[in-house]
Amino acid sequence: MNPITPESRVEVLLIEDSPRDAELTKRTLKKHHLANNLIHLTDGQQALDWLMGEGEYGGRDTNHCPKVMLLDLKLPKVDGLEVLRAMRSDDRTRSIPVVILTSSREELDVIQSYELGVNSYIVKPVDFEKFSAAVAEAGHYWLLVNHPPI
Amino acid sequence: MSSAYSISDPMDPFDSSPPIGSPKSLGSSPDCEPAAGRPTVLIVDDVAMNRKLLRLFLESAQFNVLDAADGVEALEILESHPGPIDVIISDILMPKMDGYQLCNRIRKHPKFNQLPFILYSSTFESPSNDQLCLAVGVSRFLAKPAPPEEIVRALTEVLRKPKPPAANWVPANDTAVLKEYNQALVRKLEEKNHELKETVAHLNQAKLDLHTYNLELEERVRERTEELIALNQKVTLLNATLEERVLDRTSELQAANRELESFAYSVSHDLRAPLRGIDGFARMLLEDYGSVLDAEGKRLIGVVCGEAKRMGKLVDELLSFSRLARQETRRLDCDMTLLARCAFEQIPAQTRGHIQSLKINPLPWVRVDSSMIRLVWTHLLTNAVKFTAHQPAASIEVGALAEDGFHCFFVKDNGAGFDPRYKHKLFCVFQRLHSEAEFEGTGVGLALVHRIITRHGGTMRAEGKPGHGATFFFTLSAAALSNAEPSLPLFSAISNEP
Repeated sequence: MNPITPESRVEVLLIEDSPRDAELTKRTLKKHHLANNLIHLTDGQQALDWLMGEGEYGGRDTNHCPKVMLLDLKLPKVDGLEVLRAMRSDDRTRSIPVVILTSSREELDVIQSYELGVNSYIVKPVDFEKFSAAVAEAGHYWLLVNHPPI
Repeated sequence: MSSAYSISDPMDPFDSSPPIGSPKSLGSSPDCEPAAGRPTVLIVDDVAMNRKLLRLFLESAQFNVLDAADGVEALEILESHPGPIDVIISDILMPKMDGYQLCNRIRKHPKFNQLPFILYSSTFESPSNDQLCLAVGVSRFLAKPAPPEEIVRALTEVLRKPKPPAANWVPANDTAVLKEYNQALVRKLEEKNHELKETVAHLNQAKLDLHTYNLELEERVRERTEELIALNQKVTLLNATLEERVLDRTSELQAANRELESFAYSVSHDLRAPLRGIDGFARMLLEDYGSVLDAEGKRLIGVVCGEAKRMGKLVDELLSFSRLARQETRRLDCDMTLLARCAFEQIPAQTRGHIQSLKINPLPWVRVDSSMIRLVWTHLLTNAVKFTAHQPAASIEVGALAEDGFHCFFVKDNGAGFDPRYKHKLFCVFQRLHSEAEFEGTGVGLALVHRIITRHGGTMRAEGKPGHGATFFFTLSAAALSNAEPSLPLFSAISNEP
C-alpha cells in the first residue's frame, strides 16, 4: 500500500485480491506515470470501509474520492458486484467512475455490471502485452482525459 | 349321387327288365301316385336320413318306394298296403323289431313268405352272420354303404329270380334260429357296446381336455387381467407422478446447469489468472533483466510466455465450447453468403495474406442462430487459411450443394489436407491431425463447429488427402430452411485476388 498523505489526492483505487495481478497492474500504471497516488486494497469489505470511512478507515475524509476505481469482480468477503451495488446506492460514492477489471467474460457478469452502473468493463487478457495496453489505456483515459464530476 | 341314377349298362342282361338307369323319373313321387308296372320296395331303417337317401336314390332308379322305421311298422305296412310289395330292403339293428326278426316273421307269414328280403347293414359280415341270414331266410346280404349300382343290381336280381326261398331254405327249428339269432345279436351288441365305450372314452377324454383347456384359459385370463390391472395402476401412478417428476427433473437440470455455469466461471477466472501471472512475470524478467541474459536465456523466457498464451487460448476455447452447451439457439433468417464473407474478413489480414484466391459462391438463406453459424464459418475458414499457409498458390472455395432436399455447405482448400484414416478424430475435442510445430492449434475448433451443427440438427463430414487439400461439408436440418428471399441479388463470387 502506498502511503497517502492527507494532502495528496487518491487518484486510483485498485481493488484486487491477486497480488500478481495487482503487481502487473501497478507496474503498468507506473510505467505510464499514472500510479502516483494509488491505493491498493485486497477485498470487498476493505474497499467499502475505505469508501465509507468505516472500520479501519474510520474518520477518513469521505469527500476525497478517487478519480477512478479499478475493481475486480471475484473478491474475498464481499464480491465486486456487491461493492458496486453498495457504492451506487450511496450518495457519497455514487459518481465515482468504476472500471471492472476481471478475468470473467461471462455474459451475466457483464450485464449485471452495466445494470449496476459500471463505467467500463475490461476482460483481463492472458497476454501481458495486451493486458498492459488495456490497463494503460483505461488509466490514461480516466485519469487524464476524463473530467470527473468532483 | 348323380352317378347313382345315370348308370345304364347296355351289356347288362338285367338292364331291360326293371327300368333302371332311365333318368326321366327324377323327382317323381311314387308314394302319392304309384306308377304301374314298377316294382315296389319297402325300405326299413330306423335312421330317417338313411331312409331318405335310399328312397331318393331308388325312386330315381324307377322304383316305387315305401318306408318303415322298424320291423313292427314294416309288418303293418305289409298288411295294410293296398298294392303289392315286391321286395324288402332292411337294416339289422332297429328298435322294437330288428331285421332278423322281421325276416323270420315274414318267412313264417302265410302270405309274404316268398317275399325277397335284402339285409342292408353296416354291421359286420361273418360266416355265422351268413348262417343266420340263411336260417331266417334272407335272400341277400349287402354291406352298408354299398355303391348305388350294387343296390340296384341286388334288387334287380332278387326280383328277377324270385326263387321261393323254400327251395333252398329249410326253415330251421325256432330254437336253432333263436340261438343263432341271439349269438349274432350278442356279437353285434358287443360290438356296438365296444364302439360306444370307445366313443364314451373319447368323449370323456375330450371333456377332460376341454375342462383342462377351460381351466388354463381361465387361469390365463385371470393372469392377464391381473397384469392389466397392475399396468393400469402403474400408468395411473406414473401419470400422477409424471408432473412431479418433470418438475423434479427440471429443477435437477437447472441445478446442473447452474453448477456448470459456476464451474465455467471458476475455470474462466481461476485458470486464466495464473497464466497471466506467468506471462506477465516472464515479461517483467525480460524487461528488467534482459541486459544480463544471453540469447538462449531470452529464448527460454519467450517459450514460457508462448506456452502461457497457448494455455490461455485453450482455456478460452474450452470455455466457449462449454458455453455452447448452455446457450439456446435463436433462429433467424440469415444470409449465408454475408456470414461467410464477414467471417473471412474478420481473419486478420496478415494471417490470410497468402490466400491468392477466395471464391464465395452464392449461398442460400437459412434459418439459424447467426452468432453460432458465424462461428462455424470463422473456424472453417480460419482452418482453411491456416492449413494453406505453406501453399504457394493458396485457394479457398466456399459453396453450397443441394443434398436430399437440404442445403449442404462446404469449405474447400488446397492446403495440407489430412490422412483420411484419422477422419473420425477430426471432430473430437483436443484431437489434432497435425503437430503443433507444423500448424498451431488447440484441437477445439472443429469440435465446436461439430457441436453447433449438431445443435442445428445437421451433420458434418470431411474429405481430404495429405498434401491435396481438405473439404469440410455441413448440412442443416429442415428447420433451417428459410423462406426469406434475399432482397438484393445474391453476391456474385467474391474474389480476393491480391
